[in-house]
Amino acid sequence: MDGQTRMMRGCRWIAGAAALVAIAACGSDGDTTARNAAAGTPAGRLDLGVVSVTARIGGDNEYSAGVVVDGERGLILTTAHGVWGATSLKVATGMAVLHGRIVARDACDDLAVLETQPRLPGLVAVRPSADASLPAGRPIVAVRRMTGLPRGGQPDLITTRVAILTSAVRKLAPGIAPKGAVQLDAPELPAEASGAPLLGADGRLAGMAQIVQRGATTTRAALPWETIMARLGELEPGGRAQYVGWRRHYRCAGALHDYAAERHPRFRRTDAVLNAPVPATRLPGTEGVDR
Amino acid sequence: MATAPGQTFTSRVPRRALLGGLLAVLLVAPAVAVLMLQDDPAPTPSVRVEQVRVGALPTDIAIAQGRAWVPSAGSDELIAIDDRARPKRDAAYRARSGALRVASDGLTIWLAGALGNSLTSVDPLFGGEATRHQIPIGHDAVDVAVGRDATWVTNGAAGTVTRVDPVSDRALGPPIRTGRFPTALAVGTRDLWVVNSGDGTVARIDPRENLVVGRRVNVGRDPQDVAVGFGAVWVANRGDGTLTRIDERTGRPQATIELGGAPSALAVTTEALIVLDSKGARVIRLDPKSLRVTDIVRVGGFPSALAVGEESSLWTADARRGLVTRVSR
Repeated sequence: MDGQTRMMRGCRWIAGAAALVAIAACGSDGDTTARNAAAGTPAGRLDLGVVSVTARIGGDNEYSAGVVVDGERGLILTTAHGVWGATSLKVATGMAVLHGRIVARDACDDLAVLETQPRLPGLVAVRPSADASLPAGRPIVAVRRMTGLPRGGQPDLITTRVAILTSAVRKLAPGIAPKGAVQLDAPELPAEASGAPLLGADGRLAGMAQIVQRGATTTRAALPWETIMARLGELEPGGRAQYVGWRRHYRCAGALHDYAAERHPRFRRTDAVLNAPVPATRLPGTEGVDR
Repeated sequence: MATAPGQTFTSRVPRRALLGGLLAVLLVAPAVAVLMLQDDPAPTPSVRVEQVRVGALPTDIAIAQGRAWVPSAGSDELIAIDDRARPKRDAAYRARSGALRVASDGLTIWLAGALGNSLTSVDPLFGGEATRHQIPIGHDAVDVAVGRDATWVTNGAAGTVTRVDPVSDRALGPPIRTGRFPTALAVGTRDLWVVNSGDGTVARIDPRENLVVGRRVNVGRDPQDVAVGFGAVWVANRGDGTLTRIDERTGRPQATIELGGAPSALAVTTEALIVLDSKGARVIRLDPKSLRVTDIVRVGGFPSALAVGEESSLWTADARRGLVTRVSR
C-alpha cells in the first residue's frame, strides 16, 4: 500500500466521520427534523407565512390577503381597506383558521396590522428582500392563499406572475395615495389578492399588492417594502392598546369610511373606530367592589 | 511491507496524528457545542415525556373519561387519546370543522372555532358515533369554559361573553360586555373570570346575575390565559413574560411573577400551578405559595395548549408538528 492510497483512505475516513457527525447532529433533535420537514422547503415556509383574510363589514364578507410579519406575536400585514369597519375577522393560515383583531391601521398608506387569536406558535414571517424597492421590469410573483381550512401537508397557495410598471399610482381611491406605490400590471389578479405579498426572484418580500375595486374600475398597485418597513418601524408597543404610532394617518380615515360605505351599504362608522372602549355590562352598585 | 527506495515513514506519523486529531475534533466538537448551547436544565430523570402523532393540526386539549380530547384545526375530527400507561390515538369522531378550543365537564365535549359563529357540543359516551349539536352564538366563538350549570363562550371582536345552557343547548340571555376582545376564560369557585386580550384586563362575571362585578383588573401585556386555583386567579401575560396573581375573593391583584419567555397557557394541579412557555417550549411548575419555579420540562417544538390529565400528568398540543405530548412522573 503506497502513501497515496493511505492518504486517500485517510481522507475517506475523515469524510465518513464528517458525514456521520452531520447525520448524527441532524438526527439527534427530533424537533429540528420535524421543523425542517414542515418548513424546510421555500414552499413550506411560504405556506406558514401567507394568509387569507375574511372580514365581516356591514354584514357582507370582504376577502383579502396578507402576510405574516412577526410569527411569534402572530402579526399579519394586510391592506386597511380590506378590513375597515370589520366586526369580525377570520385569518386562514397554513395551520388553522384563526380569529383576527386589528392592532394598527394606516389609512393614508392603506396598511393594517392584525393580530391572530389564539396565538398558535409556528407561523413563519416572510423574510424581506435586500432590495426593498420595486424597479420596473423586475420579476415579481404575487402569492395568496386559498380561503378555508388548510389541507395539511400541502401548500394551499396561488402564485401569479405580475409586472411592475414605471408610473406611480396617484390614488388608490379618493383620498388614499400610498407613498411610493407604483402601478401593477396584473389583470388576472382579483380584488381578493389585495394585501398579497409580492416576492422577488430571491423568494423574499419585495412589496405588497393593493387592489381597490370601485364599480367596474379596478386599481392595482404595488407598495414597495421600503415604505412598509418605514411604517412598521414607526409602530411601538403601546400601554394596553398593543401598538401605537400611526395616529397621524387618521387624517385619511374619512376616505376609507367613504370607500367602505360605498362598498357595503350597511357599514357603520362606529364599527371602524379602533380601540374604542368597551364599557362592561356591570352589576349596579358594584362599581367600588374592587377598589 | 515493501518500501520504495528513498521513501521514508517520517512523514506518515504526523499525518496519522493529524487524521486522528481531526477525527476527534469532528466527533467531540458537536457534543461540546450542544452542551454549551443548552441553557435549560435537563429534565429530571423521573419525568417521562411521550409523544403521540395526531397528524391533524391539534390546537387544544381537554381531559375527560380517562382520555385526552384533541380538536383538529385542519379537519372536522375530534380525536380521543387514551390516557393510560402508553398514550395512543384511541378514536376519532366527526365533530366540527376547524375547531380551535375545547373544554369538557367530564361528559360532554365543547368545541369553539373561527369557522361559523357557533359552539358545538359532542357527546361521545355511547357507541362509535358521537351525538353532535351546533349551537348558534351570533358572534365569534373564541374560547369555551364549562361551569356547574352553564357553558361560557368568549365572543372576541364583539367584546362579549355568551352563556349557553348545556341542557337545552341554547344561548341564554343577552351577551355580557366584558372588555375589548375577550379571549380566555375560567370558571372559579363562585365567579367566572374573563381575560380581555385587547385591553389587558380581567373581568369578573357573577353567574347568578350574568353581569360584570366591580372594576376590571389591569394585568400585564397581551394576556392569553387564565386559571383559578389556590384561592387565586392566575393570568398568563404573554407580551411581558409575567404571571399576574389576583385574589379570587377580593379581585385585587396581589403579585406579578417574572417568568420570562411567553407564558401562554395555564393549568392547575392539586399541588402546583403549571405554566406553558410557548416561546421556550417549556412546561414550568410553580409553587403557588412561595411563587417559586420548582421544575422545568422542555417539550420542544411549538406547544400551544396545556391540560392536566390523570395522576397530574401534563398534556401539550403542537399544531405545527401535529403532535400531542404527555409529561408524567
